[in-house]
Amino acid sequence: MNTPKRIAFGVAAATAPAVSMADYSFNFPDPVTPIAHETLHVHNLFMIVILVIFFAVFGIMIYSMWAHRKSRGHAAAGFVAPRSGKQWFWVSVPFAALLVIDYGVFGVPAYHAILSYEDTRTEADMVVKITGNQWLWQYEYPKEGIQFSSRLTTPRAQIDNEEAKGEHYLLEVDNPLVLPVGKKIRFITTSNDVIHSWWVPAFGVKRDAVPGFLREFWAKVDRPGTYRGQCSELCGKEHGFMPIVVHVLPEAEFNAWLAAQKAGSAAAPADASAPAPETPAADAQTKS
Amino acid sequence: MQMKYLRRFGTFAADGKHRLLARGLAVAALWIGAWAIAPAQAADIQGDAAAGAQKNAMCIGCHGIENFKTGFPIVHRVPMLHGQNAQYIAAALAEYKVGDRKHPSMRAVAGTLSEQDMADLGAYFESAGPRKIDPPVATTNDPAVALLNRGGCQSCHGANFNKPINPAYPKLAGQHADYLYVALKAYQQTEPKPFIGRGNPIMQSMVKQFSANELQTLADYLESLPGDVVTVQRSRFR
Repeated sequence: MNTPKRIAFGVAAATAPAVSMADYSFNFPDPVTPIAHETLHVHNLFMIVILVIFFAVFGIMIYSMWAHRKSRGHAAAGFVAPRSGKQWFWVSVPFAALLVIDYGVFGVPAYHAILSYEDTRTEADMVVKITGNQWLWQYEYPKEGIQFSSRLTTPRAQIDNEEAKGEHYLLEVDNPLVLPVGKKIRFITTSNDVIHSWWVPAFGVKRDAVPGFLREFWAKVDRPGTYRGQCSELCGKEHGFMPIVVHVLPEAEFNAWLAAQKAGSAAAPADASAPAPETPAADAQTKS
Repeated sequence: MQMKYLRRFGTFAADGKHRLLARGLAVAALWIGAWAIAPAQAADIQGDAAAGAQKNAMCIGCHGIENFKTGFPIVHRVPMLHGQNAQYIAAALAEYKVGDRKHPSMRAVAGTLSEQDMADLGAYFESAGPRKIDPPVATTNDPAVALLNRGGCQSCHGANFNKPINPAYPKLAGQHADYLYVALKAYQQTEPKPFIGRGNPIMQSMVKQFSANELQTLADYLESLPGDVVTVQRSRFR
């Protein structure tokens, strides 16, 4: 085998496992809210800028090590202060570039994302109050007068390794939060006991639920689907066993669900009344 | 209506003159009450300790850790439940569920339990207690004894406070004093508050007469008595 063939074979062997990891995502989950889109955008932007700087700096460094070595008659720099105007200019270039990147290239989109996270300029269509509890979530629709608890349904036998794990192992609840698609929703978080944190990765939002405080954030979900998340503030023994499941429904179906809840079938699990439009893409997100 | 009479009865019991008579009446009323309540509870729901052991994950996060403290309404150790009466635990959970007993965390957890779950958990905690003792009645000159006599506590919770006359009442001997104090104070909270208070009218009327210092004395004394209730430290892997 000659050298180019060997290299090609090596690269192929090294990248072959990627085929089996097609479902495995290194990146952010598929964003479904404006804030999640912006977060992903900021993340990608950071990655590009960082990679450009990385290759530029290391490129210059490696080139200098090769081109300006001692055997070619180059001497080490004395590291004295810049003297000429030209030297001062090149000293200030990285400083200015970093300022522009930090406050302009990164700062503007980051600021914009935070504004949409804390968007109080327009009225919310709906309010949902989320109460963390050791160890389950309680949801309340104050205006609609609906309140229910959302508790893990994964059977104990699966947790104890006596049965095979289900598809949504530790990410399934009896009464999921149900939201309408395309509506601006104001979430209020609080807690009954210790600090919890409500986090749905696909929404790009995460807010601590702090006892004695009401904290809030805003989100608008673009796509119907089932989205899963977890408590993300260590809150005690069952911290890993209080997942979040959100069913986002088209408005008509949401209104039907709401009417069913108001009619007093609150005891019936929302799973039954809400035909969950499970989108595999949205569903696979939190498993990676 | 019933509540009003019981409140009045409480004032009646608290004045010194009719104390003995009141205590007799209270015991009679409680017996009748117990007869009325007990068959209804025992009717068709049987607790299964093994099933309860599968459902206790949330309970033992606090009640399975020795001297575990909670912060509401004041910092106190959570009660020891292993060895407690099964029926009492089921009854307490039912009260938390409907809001007769108020504690935000307990209400949220109990709110997700069915009557069968409550009975199972009660059976689990009772059977998981490592001790079954019947200590002799303590004879001391502790000032708490006079207070306990004044409240007529023995008439329901048993002379040694480890053998209540009805399994739907709690064993108190050896229970954490700070928890007992918080519980007793909760019965004194008669104005409706969203997160504090206990609604049992008999306990409300019995506890009304005591000052905070007296309640503390009672609680300290009860903790010093030998009893069944303990906390069985949970496994690190569960």
